[in-house]
Amino acid sequence: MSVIEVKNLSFRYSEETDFVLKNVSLSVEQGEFVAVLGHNGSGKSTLAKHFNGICLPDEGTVQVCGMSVDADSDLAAVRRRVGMVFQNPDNQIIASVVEEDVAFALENLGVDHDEMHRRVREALEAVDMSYYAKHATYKLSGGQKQRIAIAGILAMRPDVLVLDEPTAMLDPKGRAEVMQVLHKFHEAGMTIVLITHFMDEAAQADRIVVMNEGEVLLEGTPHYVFQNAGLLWSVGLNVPQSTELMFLLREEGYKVPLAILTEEECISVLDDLLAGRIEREGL
Amino acid sequence: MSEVILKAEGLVEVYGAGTPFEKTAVNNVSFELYENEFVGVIGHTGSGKSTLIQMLNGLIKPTEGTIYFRGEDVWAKKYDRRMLRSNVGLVFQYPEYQLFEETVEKDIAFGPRNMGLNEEEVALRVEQAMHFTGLSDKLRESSPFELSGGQKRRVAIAGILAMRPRVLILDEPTAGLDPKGCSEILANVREYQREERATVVLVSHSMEDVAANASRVLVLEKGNLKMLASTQEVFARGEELMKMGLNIPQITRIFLQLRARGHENLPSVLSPEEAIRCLDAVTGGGRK
Repeated sequence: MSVIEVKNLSFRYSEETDFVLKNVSLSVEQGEFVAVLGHNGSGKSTLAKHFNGICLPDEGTVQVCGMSVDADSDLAAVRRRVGMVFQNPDNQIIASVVEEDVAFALENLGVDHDEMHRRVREALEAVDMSYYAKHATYKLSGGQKQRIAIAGILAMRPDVLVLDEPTAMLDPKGRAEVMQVLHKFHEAGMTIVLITHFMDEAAQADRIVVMNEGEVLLEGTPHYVFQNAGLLWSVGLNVPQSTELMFLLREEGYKVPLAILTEEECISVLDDLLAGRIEREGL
Repeated sequence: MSEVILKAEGLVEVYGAGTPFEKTAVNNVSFELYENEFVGVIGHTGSGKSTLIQMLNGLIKPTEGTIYFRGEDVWAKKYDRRMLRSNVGLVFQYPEYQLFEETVEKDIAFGPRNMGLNEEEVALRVEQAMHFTGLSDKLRESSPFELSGGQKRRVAIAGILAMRPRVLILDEPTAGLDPKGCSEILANVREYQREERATVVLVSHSMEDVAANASRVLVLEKGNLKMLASTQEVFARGEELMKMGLNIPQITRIFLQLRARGHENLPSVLSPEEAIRCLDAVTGGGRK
């Protein structure tokens, strides 16, 4: 069952400007972990903003959890189902104490007191931040702040979590913390849409959608997408170094598989190559 | 070897001395930077990188030790530290938040104008800085606030380049940019270094960027200088780096593991291109 269904979506920010999204169709299945890749200005963030009605389609339709997202929809209802996390952790923290920040949306929704406490506790546990419940938000690291922002969304119990470059402003440790939390949610059955330009993060998803100039350029499993290294390079994206190495080896005539993504896969191919188990053309 | 341009001697920085929050951010760090070199600075968040680079242009006064610029002690009485800050240009993290002028041109001109240069020279420097950072001449009259994130970043860097610093320090200049934006900005910085024979100090969490650009790497851990050596040598000590919680380029890690699996004749590599050359050599190549 698809939880997000986008059909022939076109959008522009004003009538004087060009279309940012051009006839985009896409669906995200229940429980799926989808990464959306693309360079700056490719339309990936604009696409994400359609998933909970921050942007509304000019043409085409967007359906989320069976509800259509347009000017006539109950957008508050849509936003309860689809939670969104943004790039800058500092812009998303409102309260001065961690647990109050996580409770912010629940207070707005009028959730009763005991239930609120329970949900805040669970959400903090889910992002491994229980220890910090009574701490001041301003003293947290970027990765911790971002996990608090995620907890605040989680406390609303959404069906889908959409994250727009949540790790772009974090250091490697913070990035790893956030990715770990996303994997945990994914294993628990949550639907996740991760907008990113980090190839290593996209490689961890079930499926990658590559955006370019407002259109879907490529989509499929990480192995499939990264096999198209030439195409990705041509639109200003990268592939992991392990994949790049396989391309260079192919150019040298070695008959190595192109669908190589992880370090382990790459090491095992190189192991074979060094042991003379891989054929080479032109020799 | 080129001449020493900047020398750090016994740098110590203690924050909140005498309070319960006392913290030594930089602990007895000494090193020399040469003209016309590209040095990468790596270290965990909180390792003292930001404190260190702010000491290099006199923004932070060291608790102990000092900095010599072209042999002169910058903390000596009557030393012109204002001039030092145009000679040692510092590009902060997310420098685009510091843009403030009405037009791109005025923003870039702010630094050189403050140096007291005449208008002709200022105009020339703005033009060159825009060229170095790949900004189209058409953007001259635009408001910096209407530009894309990547362009804003370039304007902010151009504002520092226009002062023609002999040492250019950049703190995470590519954070948040897409891969194309990252490699373009780093190529611009390299071009500036080459043409001006300047010294570049790049602080980065991206080991791939450091490996691809720096000739030497300085490693900080908890305020201590742990390593300062050629990029090759530093990344060849990948296991030590990983123990400090630092990453190394993926390709370097892969080769390290192959060595651990018995392929001891493989050297340490920094890029996929280098990896190919090594593999070719080890397997006998077969082509000339």
